[in-house]
Amino acid sequence: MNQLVTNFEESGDLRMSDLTFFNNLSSADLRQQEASVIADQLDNIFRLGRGAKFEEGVDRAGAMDSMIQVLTDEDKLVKDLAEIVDGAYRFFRETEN
Amino acid sequence: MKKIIVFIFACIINFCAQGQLKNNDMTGLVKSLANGIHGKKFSGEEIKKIVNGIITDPELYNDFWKNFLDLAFVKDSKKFNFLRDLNIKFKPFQAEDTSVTGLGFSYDFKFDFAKYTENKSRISQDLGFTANGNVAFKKKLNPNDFLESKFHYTLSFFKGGVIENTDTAVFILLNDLEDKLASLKDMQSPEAMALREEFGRHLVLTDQYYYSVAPKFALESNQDFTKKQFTPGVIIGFGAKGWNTKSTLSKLNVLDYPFALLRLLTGTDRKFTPYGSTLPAIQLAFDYVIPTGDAVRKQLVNNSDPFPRFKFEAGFRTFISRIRKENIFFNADFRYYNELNAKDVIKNADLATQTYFVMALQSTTGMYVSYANGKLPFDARKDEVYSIGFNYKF
Repeated sequence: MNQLVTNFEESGDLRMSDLTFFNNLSSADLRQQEASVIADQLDNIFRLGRGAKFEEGVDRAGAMDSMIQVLTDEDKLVKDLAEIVDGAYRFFRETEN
Repeated sequence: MKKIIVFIFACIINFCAQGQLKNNDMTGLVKSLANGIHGKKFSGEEIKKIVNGIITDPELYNDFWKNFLDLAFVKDSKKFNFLRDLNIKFKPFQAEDTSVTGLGFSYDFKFDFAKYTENKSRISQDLGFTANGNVAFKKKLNPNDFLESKFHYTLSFFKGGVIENTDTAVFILLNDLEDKLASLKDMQSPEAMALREEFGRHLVLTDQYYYSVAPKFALESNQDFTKKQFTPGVIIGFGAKGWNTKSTLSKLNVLDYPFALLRLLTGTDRKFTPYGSTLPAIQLAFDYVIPTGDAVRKQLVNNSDPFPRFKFEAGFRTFISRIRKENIFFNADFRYYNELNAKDVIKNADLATQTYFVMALQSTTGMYVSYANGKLPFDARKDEVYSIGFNYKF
């Protein structure tokens, strides 16, 4: 998604403001819009592209809202986003790993 | 306001006192106070001073609040679920013109009800309420006496983004490729590039489009609501992302051409590759502005009457290069404001139309070079990055 150029180890500690979508010169409203687009695309990739399902009690609206909250907070880390994603989606064969 | 605060604390203390406040910071605090006093002779004034020092410490109330939340979620998670969306932080307040400090708190509450439907587009409807502000127990000590409570409704349409996979063998293959990529140190190595290419062949990204309409209605006030104003408006947003770098949409991102060239020259990309994922985001807004505190405007038109205003904003950010462990980005933002049916006196003072452009080179470790030109309207100046000129912050 052209958001990261770092390896797996380094990526977790990157802040949202280190990702390509996060323009800190824009207004908060415009950043919220960009975060919505990214969250929608992450949901697309997880569910349509990678065969993930929602965890029990989670739906698309809840997953999107949780992701957008992290994506709009410049101090949140990629690993915080990963934690949210992990709680919202069950990836294909996840339980076997 | 005092009654509300006292009521909240009564509820918290009552809740904590139901035999559940065990081994926490509060009891520790009381014990250490008792131990400190025990066996020593203190005058009434000294004890009063010690107690005052404790009860004016914001951390005491932050501990109370944290304990209350912990117990509330354990005791009855459903009943107190709304508290998960409420952030309260107790802190000291000090007015600008005095050295006296007082206690207060800031709050931030967000509640959203979202509905999602899917047909040709993915449609999100989001009805929400947000509230935030600063409340000082002694109002005159509040340097930022401002509360905002906002209702909003956002209708968003998303389309495209990825081609659906239905073959479980592809899911397994993508998982394996991801595991291999995660073990690599250099994401620009030939091995990593080959794995990413194969990943991209099986997870096919497409163009993604977005548009939204968001009416909003806010109530702004001071903490005792003796001054208040309503600020309605509507925001219309547009976005497009060419996630596949070979798509026509990506090639249309001419703003990224100079940076695609830089990425090629610095070896970040092997080919000249404009990123469609960095197409500018666009918003239009119609606001009903209430010019509170705008002394210049008040002087010109002799009143603080509200006025309608159109706003256009476009934001652009792209990746330039990775030098050692430093990622370099280019950011830009352009805003245009136009007061509708502005009076001549406002036009003559050059306040009817305002533009603001700012761009910056930024790195992940803090290097920052920016340039800004133009001016933001009075009510939007909190977003001003720098005034006209070049700025270097190393």
